[in-house]
Amino acid sequence: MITVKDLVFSFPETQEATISHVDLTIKDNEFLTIVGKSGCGKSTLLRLLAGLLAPDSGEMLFNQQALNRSQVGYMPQKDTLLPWKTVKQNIRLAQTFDSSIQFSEEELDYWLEQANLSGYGEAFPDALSGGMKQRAAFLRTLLTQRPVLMLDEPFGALDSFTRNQMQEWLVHLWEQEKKTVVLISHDLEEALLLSDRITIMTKEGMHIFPVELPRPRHSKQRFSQEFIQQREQLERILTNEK
Amino acid sequence: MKNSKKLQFLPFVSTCGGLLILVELLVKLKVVPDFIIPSPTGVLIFLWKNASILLWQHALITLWETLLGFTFALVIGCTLAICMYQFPVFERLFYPFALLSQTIPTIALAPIFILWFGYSIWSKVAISFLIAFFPIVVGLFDGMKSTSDESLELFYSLGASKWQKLWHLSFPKALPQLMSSIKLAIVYALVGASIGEWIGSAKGLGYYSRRMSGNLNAEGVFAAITLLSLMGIVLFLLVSLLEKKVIFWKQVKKKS
Repeated sequence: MITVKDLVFSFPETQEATISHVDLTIKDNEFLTIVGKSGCGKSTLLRLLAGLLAPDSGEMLFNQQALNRSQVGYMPQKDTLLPWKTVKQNIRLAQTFDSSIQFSEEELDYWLEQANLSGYGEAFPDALSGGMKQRAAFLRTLLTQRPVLMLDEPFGALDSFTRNQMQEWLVHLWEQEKKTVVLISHDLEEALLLSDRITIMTKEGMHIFPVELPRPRHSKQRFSQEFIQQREQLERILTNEK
Repeated sequence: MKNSKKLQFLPFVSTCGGLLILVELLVKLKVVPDFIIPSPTGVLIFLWKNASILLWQHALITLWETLLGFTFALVIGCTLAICMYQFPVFERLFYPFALLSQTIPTIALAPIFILWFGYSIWSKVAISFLIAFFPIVVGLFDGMKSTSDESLELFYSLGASKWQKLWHLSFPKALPQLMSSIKLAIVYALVGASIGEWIGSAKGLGYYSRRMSGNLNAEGVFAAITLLSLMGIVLFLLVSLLEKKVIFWKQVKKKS
């Protein structure tokens, strides 16, 4: 379980705190999505949780111990695949730096198959489509074998059709793997489809929104009455924000 | 597709051909005296007659000086750029010196190098190095500096050390800029070697060109210039070929 207590962070060049006294609990194997308007500090919070920024004050604990970067697999907004390395070499990048990460060639082939990337292991990223690049980048994050995954708007740059495909793929993969996932998203439907809970970040504070949709989830649920009702509730919270 | 690639050089080749024919006519019709601009055929005949001396006694020396100066510039330039990138104190210490080295005209420094290193090839190598070193340092350093924060953060989160970030991320990321700088540097190195030979040498195409100029032999001067130009083009093309091998992923992008 991740526990965030009274977290405060401000960038040196700003007077106002970007993250102001945030408290948050993320349960084991939970899929939590953080939504909010642009500039509300979603990505900053994720970067703090991923150990990429140091807080001014407050605590971040993982199972009662200080949370550190070796427990978190981080996926930035852009795919950031290295164009001079093959897909397999990109996925194995974490192994290059951390000898404790172990997976065999067969396991890698299995994951490539899961990501519909069979036959692309030796390809270079520039030969892949946007969705394929994101799937490869996600595999790189997943195969860090870390218990928590932090995903910063991984599908933000994709077209809506590819984004829908990627969401289905991710929800399927998460239901299979059951890792703790923290996702940043602008897309309320994406948040509803994927998450157990949604955290709405506003200037006033955090609102927790439990998603009450049955699992396994499927994109067709978007058209169900309960999905539409929950989306409207979410929109109201975001619209009423000062 | 192949035909269109060949045709892309047609405007350049036809313009050059047209200019050469025009010069030939102007000289033959005595509109321009041949001690000012020699006829292209005259230069070709001179080259043919003096090929052995020009190539083996002079061009080879110039090439050797160029390659030595360039190699030193590459090794020292890359080392300095990496040190400046990894340790900001090196940047603060050496970047102004690198910049300063380019603000002094080479022509003013050349006699000092000849004073220090004498008439041997080393004075020419030093000038060649000085002129080629700056684009390499700046190209590699700026290329590495352009590594995105997102990529650096990703590497940090994956547990990469400072040197692993360099070898797996920043250095390969800077290779396109480095290769562009190398293309400039190899040509500059040739210019540096020629300037050095022009000022103080007993061999090399720069020296030969100056000697022919003293004898008012315009064909000789232009023959040396033609060879220097050809050497520059060949060196540039060789680096361009190497660039395609080094930055192989750019070819993948083009194909895809």
